[in-house]
Amino acid sequence: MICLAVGLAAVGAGVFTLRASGAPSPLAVLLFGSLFAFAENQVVVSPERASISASFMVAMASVVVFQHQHTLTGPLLVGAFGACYLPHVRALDWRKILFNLGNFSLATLGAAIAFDALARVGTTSVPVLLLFSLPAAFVFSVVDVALVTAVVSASTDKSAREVLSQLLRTGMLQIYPFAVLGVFMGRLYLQIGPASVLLFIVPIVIARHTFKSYVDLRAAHEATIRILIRALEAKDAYTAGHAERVAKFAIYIGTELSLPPSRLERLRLAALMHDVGKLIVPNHLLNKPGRLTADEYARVRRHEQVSMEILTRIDFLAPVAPSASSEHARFRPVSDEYGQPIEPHIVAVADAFDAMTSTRSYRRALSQEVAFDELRKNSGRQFHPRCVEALIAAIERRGEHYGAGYEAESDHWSTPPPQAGTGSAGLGDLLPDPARRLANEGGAA
Amino acid sequence: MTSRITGIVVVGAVVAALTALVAPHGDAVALVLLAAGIVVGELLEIQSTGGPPLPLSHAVVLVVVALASAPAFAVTIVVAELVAAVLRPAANVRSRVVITLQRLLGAAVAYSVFRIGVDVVGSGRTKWAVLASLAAAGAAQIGLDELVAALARRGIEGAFRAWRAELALVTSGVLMAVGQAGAGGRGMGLWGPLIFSVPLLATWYSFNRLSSIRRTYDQTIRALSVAPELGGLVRTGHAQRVAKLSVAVGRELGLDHNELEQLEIAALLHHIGHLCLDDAEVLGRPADPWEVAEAGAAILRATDYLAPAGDLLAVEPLRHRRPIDPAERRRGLGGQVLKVASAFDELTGGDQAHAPAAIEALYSGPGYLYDTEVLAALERVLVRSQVQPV
Repeated sequence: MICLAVGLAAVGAGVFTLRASGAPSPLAVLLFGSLFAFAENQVVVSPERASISASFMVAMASVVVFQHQHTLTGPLLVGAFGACYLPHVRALDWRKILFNLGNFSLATLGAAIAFDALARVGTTSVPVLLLFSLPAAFVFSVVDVALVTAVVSASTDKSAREVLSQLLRTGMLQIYPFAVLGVFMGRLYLQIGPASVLLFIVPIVIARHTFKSYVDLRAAHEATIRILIRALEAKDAYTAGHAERVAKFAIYIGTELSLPPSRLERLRLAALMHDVGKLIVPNHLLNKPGRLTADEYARVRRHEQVSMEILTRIDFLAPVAPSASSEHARFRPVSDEYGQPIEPHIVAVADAFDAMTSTRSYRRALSQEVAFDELRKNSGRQFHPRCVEALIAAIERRGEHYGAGYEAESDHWSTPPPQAGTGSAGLGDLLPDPARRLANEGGAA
Repeated sequence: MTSRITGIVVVGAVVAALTALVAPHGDAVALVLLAAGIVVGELLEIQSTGGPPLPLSHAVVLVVVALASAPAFAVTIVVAELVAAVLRPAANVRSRVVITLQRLLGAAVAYSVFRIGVDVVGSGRTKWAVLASLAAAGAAQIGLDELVAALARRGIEGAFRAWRAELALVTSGVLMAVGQAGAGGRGMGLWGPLIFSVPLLATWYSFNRLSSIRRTYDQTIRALSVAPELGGLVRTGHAQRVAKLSVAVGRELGLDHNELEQLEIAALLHHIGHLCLDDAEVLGRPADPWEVAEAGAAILRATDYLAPAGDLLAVEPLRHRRPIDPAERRRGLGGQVLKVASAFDELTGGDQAHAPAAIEALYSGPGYLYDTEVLAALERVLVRSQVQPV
């Protein structure tokens, strides 16, 4: 119903502006209209509202161009091209087509009216143009946000307020730089004609294409790592999902310590790959029932060095390669304060926490409280205190629970805790077992 | 970083003084700012795969080309390039000098092309004369870079592989220049290049992200390729030698760039499946090579990007010496190359002294048939590498 109303309102406005201000040049309408539709269909990265910035730029350019031709119908018609969103058109989803048509034409018309009103009072020198573009852009986004809020809150059970706050959070402010860019594109069009559009569009299309390749390749890289990790976890049934969880906890800690995005990315990959060296450990050793000989134990233990070696060979991860080694990631109160990256400590804490709260072949999972206590007990000796507190704070704030319910049973400790206290934290899930077996043997070597 | 910025500011002042002397009525301030733009552009290079690094300064040079008289242009470019030479983080002084000379030459060529285009070919600064001449000037700069790169490579193979980045650089250079000086009319002054540098910066950002993730991916694959040898499953350096040899033989057989890339990945990771088999064991108790290949292929095929490499790993062994459909043979060619290269390296252990015996053994094919055409290509590659030891 709202969709129909919005669409009709746009058509009415079109008839009215045509009478009031005359017809625009068809070439310009077609050019900017098809650009607008093109931009609408170029959603590359985030499906949310990423498209708006590119098409918004085109809308603002058309506002400037048609202001020069003294017609308000032009911008309105350009906005109407926004209805050509291919998925909607293919599905013949009339409601959405009609809504987009109405929404974009009214928003562009609003911007045009605002810009026209301002342009009547001032000159069109460049700084003035910059200044004028902001109110026009503001009107555009206000109309757009209002209409989208109305239709979404009417068609879903979300309240208008929720929808609005979500819209505002997804970056309505980020589009203003595009408004400036669009205004200048329009200005250049007035100077040199359609050639300006080509000059403008070519680098932007190439940049988008390249960025899409980057996003795809990044996903492929991640998928490759994940599939290897999964193959590696398949070797030992008890460790399924361990690397993913360690990566998750590491990100919790990293976010809590407000690491910048690039370091979080590095941290996540390092956490995912911290056990990658386990690939070289033969399956029969991983799953060997009974005791390992000292020789076998040494081979199992070598996986840490291999993990580090592999991480070191990747420039992006080399600075945090010690994440793979329990020895290197151990917190040393004196020397660790300066210069050393914190990522290995983060991975060590995340690893130990997941190892304690997961069921192993030799014991059931511990409860979250016991795991927290253990982390705190060894905080400052084995674990980096800031990382420990960050993990606990992050998990508590999210209200999440890991490990075995709340039954903090002391009989879990009848077998010595493999992680905390034995100095093998960071070995996570693989080593405690043979380490304990060796310990029981009295350090047979 | 701060020292660099100070450097730019200081040089800006010097350039301002010089340009004011040379062109007292010209846009001295604009030239100073543009010179600073060139310096910044020199420090930001588009890293595209397979092409020469493209400095963003090429685009700013076009702005100066469209704006300045010949003496003012010369002073602006020379000063900016000298500063850039000081600030450029290059490995050694010699390459810095070469780059600076290359840039100066490129700028001179661009200026001449533009003036010839506008004054001789076109009749004055009409819209299309300016646009076409600017585009030609930009293309001339890029052409010079490609020429230098081709000379350094000693071959034109792979030239203009980075055409997308080059096209984006030229078009945004023209856009910035037209924004500044206009074409057949008044421009917007410095606002033009300032605002219209946004598409250029977006291009730069995207290309650099792409090339950095590509490098990381490549290093990840190379790092994982050493896992089998760290685990004692194969001899040290096996995967790297097989990859090198496979690429050389594949090139000899006329595989294209993409096929060689996938062949290299497949070769680097051709033992990765070994690590996931149940009975992975140390040297001396080899696993069934077919099982290893299938396990590896399963891993690689799980990602679209590596799937072609996985297919190469999974190419069926030849069972009979009988003619095969040429199209099918072509599809499996990379896989046969990999099998030959891997078997060859296992026989020689990386020691070229054993090569003749190894080739002999491969031809007789105990228990397995190797593609004779691939073997012939391998022989040619080996002969050549002996003639020209690297």
